[in-house]
Amino acid sequence: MNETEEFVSDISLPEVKERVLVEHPHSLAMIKRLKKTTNARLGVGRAGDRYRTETLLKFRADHAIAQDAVWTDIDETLIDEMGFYKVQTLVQNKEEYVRRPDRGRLFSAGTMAAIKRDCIHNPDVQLVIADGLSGFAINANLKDIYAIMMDGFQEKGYRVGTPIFVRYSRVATMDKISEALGATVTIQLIGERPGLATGESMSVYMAYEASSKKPESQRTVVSNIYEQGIPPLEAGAQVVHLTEVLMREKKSGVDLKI
Amino acid sequence: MAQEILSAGIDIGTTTSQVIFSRLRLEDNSYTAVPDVKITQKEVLYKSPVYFTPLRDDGNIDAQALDRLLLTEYARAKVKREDVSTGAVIITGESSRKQNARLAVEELSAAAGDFVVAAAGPDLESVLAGYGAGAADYSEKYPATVANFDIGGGTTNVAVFLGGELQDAFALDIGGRLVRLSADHSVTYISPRLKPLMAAMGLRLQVGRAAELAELVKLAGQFADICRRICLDEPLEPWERGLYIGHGKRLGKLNAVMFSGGVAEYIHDAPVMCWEDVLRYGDIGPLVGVAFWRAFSAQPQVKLLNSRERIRATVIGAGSYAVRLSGSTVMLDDALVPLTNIPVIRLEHLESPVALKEEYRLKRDVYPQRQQVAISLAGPAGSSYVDLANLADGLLRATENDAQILLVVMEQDFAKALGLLLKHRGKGRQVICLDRIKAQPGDYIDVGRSVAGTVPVVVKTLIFKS
Repeated sequence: MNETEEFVSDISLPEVKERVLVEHPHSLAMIKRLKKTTNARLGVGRAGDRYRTETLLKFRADHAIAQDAVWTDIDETLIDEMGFYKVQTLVQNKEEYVRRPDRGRLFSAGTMAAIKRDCIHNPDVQLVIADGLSGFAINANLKDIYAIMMDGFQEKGYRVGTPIFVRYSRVATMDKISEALGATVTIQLIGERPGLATGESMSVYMAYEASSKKPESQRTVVSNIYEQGIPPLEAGAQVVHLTEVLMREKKSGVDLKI
Repeated sequence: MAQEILSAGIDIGTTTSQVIFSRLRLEDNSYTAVPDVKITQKEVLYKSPVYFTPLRDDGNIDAQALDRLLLTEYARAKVKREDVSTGAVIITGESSRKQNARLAVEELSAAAGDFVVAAAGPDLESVLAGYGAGAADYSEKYPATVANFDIGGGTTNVAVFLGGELQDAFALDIGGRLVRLSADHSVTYISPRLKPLMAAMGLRLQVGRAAELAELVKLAGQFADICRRICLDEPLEPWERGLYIGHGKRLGKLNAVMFSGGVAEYIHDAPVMCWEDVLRYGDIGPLVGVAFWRAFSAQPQVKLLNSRERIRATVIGAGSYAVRLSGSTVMLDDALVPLTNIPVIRLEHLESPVALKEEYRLKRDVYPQRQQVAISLAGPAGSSYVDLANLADGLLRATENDAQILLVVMEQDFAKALGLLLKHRGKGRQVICLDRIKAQPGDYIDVGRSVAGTVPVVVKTLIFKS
């Protein structure tokens, strides 16, 4: 066999999902149009009353991506390049992170003291970058969303605090950091729990005077940020807009009727 | 979260004029802090009677009479001018060729409401009728290429849709009032545009002479047969092709067809016509309708569909479908709008600021220096910050000598981000940046005030004029 001839196709490629597997479709164009409206597994045909092999393999490949996203420690090369301040929650490894959500919300006394010692106090905007359940999401979206947010904050004249990267982090770490530094608006970028569509989806949680004494409903959220969802650049511009709204209204989350 | 807006549709035709008001319901279906506003419901609240278009003795539109008519209809519908936030006034049929029509309509649109825009042109008329009749919606639901033939007094306006999208639009000199008759069966008018066809058919109809029913039936039958052959992609004779106003693309065979317009009121299973029926409107409209029914109901190749609207298709299209919503994350300053009749410059060479500037300069030169223009593009060359920043720099550099608003419309969802960069980098430039809007070279756009965070935009398509 010719070495350059590809015998086995790469089932993990996103375009595999675009294929219509229905045999003898009444209207191929119509199925293709339907498929464009969603990334659910439509138009995959069947073998008897089961999935066809290709569909099953794709399903398992997508599930593997989700597993990898959860269980892989974040590659911190980009975080280091960007020079962010780095801390870690009480969690020591991935397994503990998954089993003990409570510990992923807390810092040690030493870490809290270090944050207070090393970071800018009373910023208008405090950024927290959290690995969450997908480090892939941070690495895929961080550079673009960060750049446009910084342009926006500069344009508005906001004082931006020291960006802090938190390893093994849950959403609530933003409250602790906000309290420690006296931030007006705290913005957390966090890797979302991966589904079967992508492992690269990121959320942004925002709160006005974020505090661990306030309920979860204090947070305003922009989710589904990835290239095929809300593009990170457009999400960043929306976050800048929302920051302005939070500053003006002096509240966030469900209190904000938007 | 839902919001409702009131939209007006005003159709000033060759023969008749109408007004409708419809309520558009806007809903934000987003569950996070990124809005996603769409029009979820369109409900026609009021339909005026079908009026004869007021004309002066010289054949021009009587603008004052039209104004009075409009005032009466607003009062009857219990609608105040300030309640109407959007809509369109459209000049249709042969009246669009009349000199004062545009002027009259522009005055009207100002009187009709804040963002009721004036629109004209046979292609746009075709498109609006196609939307109003339901051809676009049908083609979205079913895998078929669907044409709507809007058969009016002066012209037949055709729009072709596939997958909910417009594929083609054109107009034909076919209509119910191209031949007019008096009560004693004598011919009072024959459109000069029909002369070559009638000569080729050997018809002896003449103004001032009594018409023979058989000849009128033959002419009406020929109209229907020409349209049938267009649907089946069968050839037309040269004198038949002469009935095209402008040209359409060749699309091949159509799957389904529907009819709207005044004549379509007669396209149904009607008994054979006697003179009394024929003369009801003093023209050949009813005969043309019956001829279309015969031509299309008797053949199996093109599916004959029921249209949602007939005589009111165009006005409902103008009132309910002319306006599109931009994406929900955009950059707009309400103080800068409404903007109307803005010519579109389409930029394709976005790969480098130098190429962009060169392309813009060439295309911008066509318009006067003081003319506000809109820049239309698909989106940045790539989805990274660097791609978008390059695009922003390119646009700012290309337009640095323009004193007007930097107005950008794009297809991809990047308007808020691009708008942010344009404002940030273009210190002090006035910027409007909208997305999910597709505008082609030669189009004109109107931009209204924001509603629920999204922006009503009318794209007046002239692309099929060639």
